[in-house]
Amino acid sequence: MRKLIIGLFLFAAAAGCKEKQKIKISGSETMNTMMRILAENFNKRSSDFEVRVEGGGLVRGIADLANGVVDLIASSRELLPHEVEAIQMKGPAEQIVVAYDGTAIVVHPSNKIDRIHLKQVSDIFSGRIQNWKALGGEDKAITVVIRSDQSGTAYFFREHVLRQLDLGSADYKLNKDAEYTPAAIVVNNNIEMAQVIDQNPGAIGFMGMGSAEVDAAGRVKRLAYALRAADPAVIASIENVYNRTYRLGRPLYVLYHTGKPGVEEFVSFATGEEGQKTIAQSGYLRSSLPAVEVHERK
Amino acid sequence: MLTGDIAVSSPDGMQFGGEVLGLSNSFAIEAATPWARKNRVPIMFMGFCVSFVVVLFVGISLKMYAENRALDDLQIAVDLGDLVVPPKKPGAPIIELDEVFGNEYVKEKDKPAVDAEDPRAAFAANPYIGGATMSVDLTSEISPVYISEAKSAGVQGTVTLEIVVSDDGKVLRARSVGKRLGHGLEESAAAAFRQKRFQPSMKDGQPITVKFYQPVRFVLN
Repeated sequence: MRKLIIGLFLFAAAAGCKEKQKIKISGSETMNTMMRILAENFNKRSSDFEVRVEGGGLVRGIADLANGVVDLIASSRELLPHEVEAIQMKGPAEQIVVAYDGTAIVVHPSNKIDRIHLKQVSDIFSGRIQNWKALGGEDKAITVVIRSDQSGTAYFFREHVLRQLDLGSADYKLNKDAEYTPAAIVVNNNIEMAQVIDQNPGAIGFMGMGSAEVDAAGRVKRLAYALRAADPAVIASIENVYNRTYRLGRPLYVLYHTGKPGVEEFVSFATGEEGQKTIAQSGYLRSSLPAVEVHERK
Repeated sequence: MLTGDIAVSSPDGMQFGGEVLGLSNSFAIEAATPWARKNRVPIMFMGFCVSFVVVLFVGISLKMYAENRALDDLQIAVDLGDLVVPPKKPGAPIIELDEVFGNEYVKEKDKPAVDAEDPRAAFAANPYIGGATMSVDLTSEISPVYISEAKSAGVQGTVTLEIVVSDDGKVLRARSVGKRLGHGLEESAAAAFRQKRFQPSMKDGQPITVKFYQPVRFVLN
């Protein structure tokens, strides 16, 4: 009798512990912390699905999604046509903006420079300027720290800042072949970026504003940034991206193949009110407007 | 007087019929008359009736057959309507047979769809990144209907709409993304936004077409 009761108890416990369906995410390292917090909150609420987040960079993420290794990827830039095509070979796909970032230009906290403009940044990251003295700072060699070529943020930064796309097509045409200085230290993610800058007073790098404000807080300093020398310079923050004064704003996307219930539930969570609050807590600007409420009596 | 060729033998050997005995027997003559001849009037009447019924039946059958054949012919014409249309040239309208009246007409479904998306939607900018102002809703009194079927089923949750507002304030696109709640709630939310008019987003003093996301939360209290 006792064995029977124990057996029934174990059976009931096993039935209650239904295994959740796994949803795998990879892609942008910039969005990694945000996606992890989103997944954590989603997992607490969902009884059917469990989201697991890996980073690896956007390039790896695109390959993962195209090969069916993951269900959704985080992307810190808009995909190129051939990348979209590769993903759509596997089925119809959707790209949704879940947040906005202001790519922060970060230096060691001890650096006396507080503001910088696009041409100066372009000259530093291409190696044309190699000493902080050229910007009115200390006589100290500049150490450029960049992300690997797997990074969507590195691609975005190269096109918009290093090659000066944000100054217009004429400037972009003049600088379209510019590359990061070969002397740059290459890191894989924002944690490494913060460590290198923290250990090197002459270092300069870039990262998502959420990473700069949350993950790397105290180890890096955000420089106020302006498009041109005469423009007002502001630091990367939710408020400054929202009011359009920070000129290195960009959308952050998720991409997925449509028709998978768990993935679509996660996307709804991310774009819904709770998910958007989580995104704001991660240091990024929400992508959707406040929810329209429709209340009715049962 | 009947002079028949038929001789009828009696049990006692006497012959009836003819003038065997030299006597005329009207009863014997009557008995010797064939039945059909005796009842020819009713038989003729019956025959006439049967013929009439047969003719009537055949006539009705022929008429029904003709009508059925006509219907069959019509059905064949309708069914073949789609098959016999020559290969469609790009942009050429398809001519089909009207199923009721047999008239030819241009198929409505081959005309440009009424809800074909405005090409401006494909080039919608992002107001935050482009540095534009946000579109302003001028018709906030329009709100989505909580569909009674969804209420009855106790369906609650959030629908996220992707909305594109044109440079003249019209909603060019309102579609749901992510998980569907069903029971008509996505359609209700999208329909409410399609009715709205906006003050367009402005960039460098010019109105522009923009895209943004709008969650709509349906809650039962």
